[in-house]
Amino acid sequence: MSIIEVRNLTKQYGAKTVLDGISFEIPAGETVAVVGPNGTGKTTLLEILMTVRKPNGGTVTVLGRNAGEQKAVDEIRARIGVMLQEGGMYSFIKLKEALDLFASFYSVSREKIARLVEYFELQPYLNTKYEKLSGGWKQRFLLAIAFLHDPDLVFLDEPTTGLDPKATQLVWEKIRGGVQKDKTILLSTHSMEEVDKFCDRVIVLCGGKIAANGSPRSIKEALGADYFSDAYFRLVEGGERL
Amino acid sequence: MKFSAKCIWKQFKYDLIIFFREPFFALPILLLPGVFFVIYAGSMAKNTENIAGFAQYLPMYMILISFLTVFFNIGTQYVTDRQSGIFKRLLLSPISLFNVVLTYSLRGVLISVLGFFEMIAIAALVFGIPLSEHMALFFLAFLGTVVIMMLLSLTLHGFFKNSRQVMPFTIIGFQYVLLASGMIMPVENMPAAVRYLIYINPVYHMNQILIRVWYGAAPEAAHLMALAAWVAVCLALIRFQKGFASDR
Repeated sequence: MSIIEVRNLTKQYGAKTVLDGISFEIPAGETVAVVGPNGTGKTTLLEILMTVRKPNGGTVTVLGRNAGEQKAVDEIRARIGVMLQEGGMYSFIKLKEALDLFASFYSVSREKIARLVEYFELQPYLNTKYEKLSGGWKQRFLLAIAFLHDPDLVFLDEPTTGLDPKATQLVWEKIRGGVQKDKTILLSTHSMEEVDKFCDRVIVLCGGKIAANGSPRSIKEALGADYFSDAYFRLVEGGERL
Repeated sequence: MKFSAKCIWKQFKYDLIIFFREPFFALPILLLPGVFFVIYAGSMAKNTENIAGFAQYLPMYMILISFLTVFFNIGTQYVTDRQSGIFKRLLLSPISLFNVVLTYSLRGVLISVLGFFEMIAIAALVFGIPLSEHMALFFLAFLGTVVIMMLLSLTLHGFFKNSRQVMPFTIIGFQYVLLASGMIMPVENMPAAVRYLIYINPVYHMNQILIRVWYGAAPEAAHLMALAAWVAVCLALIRFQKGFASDR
């Protein structure tokens, strides 16, 4: 069953076409990366699927609902978890306060919050203000907020950008482990190593179109590359298409 | 969309907590106007026996607190919250834009009302200035000016995308309100060209309305109409902003 279906999606900013009639489906339970050069429309695509932006053309179905309908937007937003590139968290809020605040939006029980705190190992920082956290802990906390209400679909916009390898590893352990392991996750990233290691599928965007869509392994095999980064450069710079 | 009292209460509670954690917002907004009131009223008390006349400046100090809270603090926060993704993150949860704006508004009203009672307390308890005989009406009129200030703040700050853009605007706006609203210098003493700047300043009209209500007089139609015009402009601009934004 597809949890996301996109047909002929087009998005323009003024005269510039960022997404040019792309189509794809994402099956439930997969971890899918969207990659591509800067300005190629990764965040725009994620934001359209999150219902933040409206497409100029095409249809977008998320969790079985037409994302173009306002009534569906409210339902979709209640069932998705998001981690934004900008962070989107108050600097002066303490972690326990932010958890309490966001839990009230989704009517999450105290027991569930406690389990989440334990899973993401946030206990030592509950009385710490968000701005005082290191980059890795900020990301881990934002991840916890994204998973707070047990969403069916989770969007992660560059979740490990700026993190050191250890912090990156820990973030991925939390994404792929525990109760999260069966969730559908759609993320954007610049790390080809992460794509290779952690993702079931990757969508390569280039020039507003999909240059490749498949498992990292199948894309590597099709292009005869040992590493996904090699396959990526052949698609993005060499102009090859799959 | 979720609109429960519990949800609003939590948002309001944490919004206030965060506000009071930022000392460079809370202290200057609530304390400095009170300190200046004490200094100026004290100075007047030394030079005149009729300290009761200083009551005419009370609305000015109340409006100043309201302006600092609603226009300066909430307005810039409205911009920075959008810049840092807080707005987007909140709207991607089951709460609506209405919840977010309501929370800002509740804080603006609460801090402004605190400023109102702070000034009343200083005037009555420190200087023995007789209070208005029309206090209930004066309070309602003051609340009306706070609501209009909120509308102005959110509308005008809606045009800015980041804090770098909005800073010059807030600095100019602050100077305009202080120097071209008749608060510091009587309008009659100003050059004719400058007077026009004052006549289009909504804060000038708010001050004039509140002074008249304080003394039990009906506000002049010109001041009411000027504020009504500003409200109409804001509503039109909000429609324009909605139309201008192609995205949700």
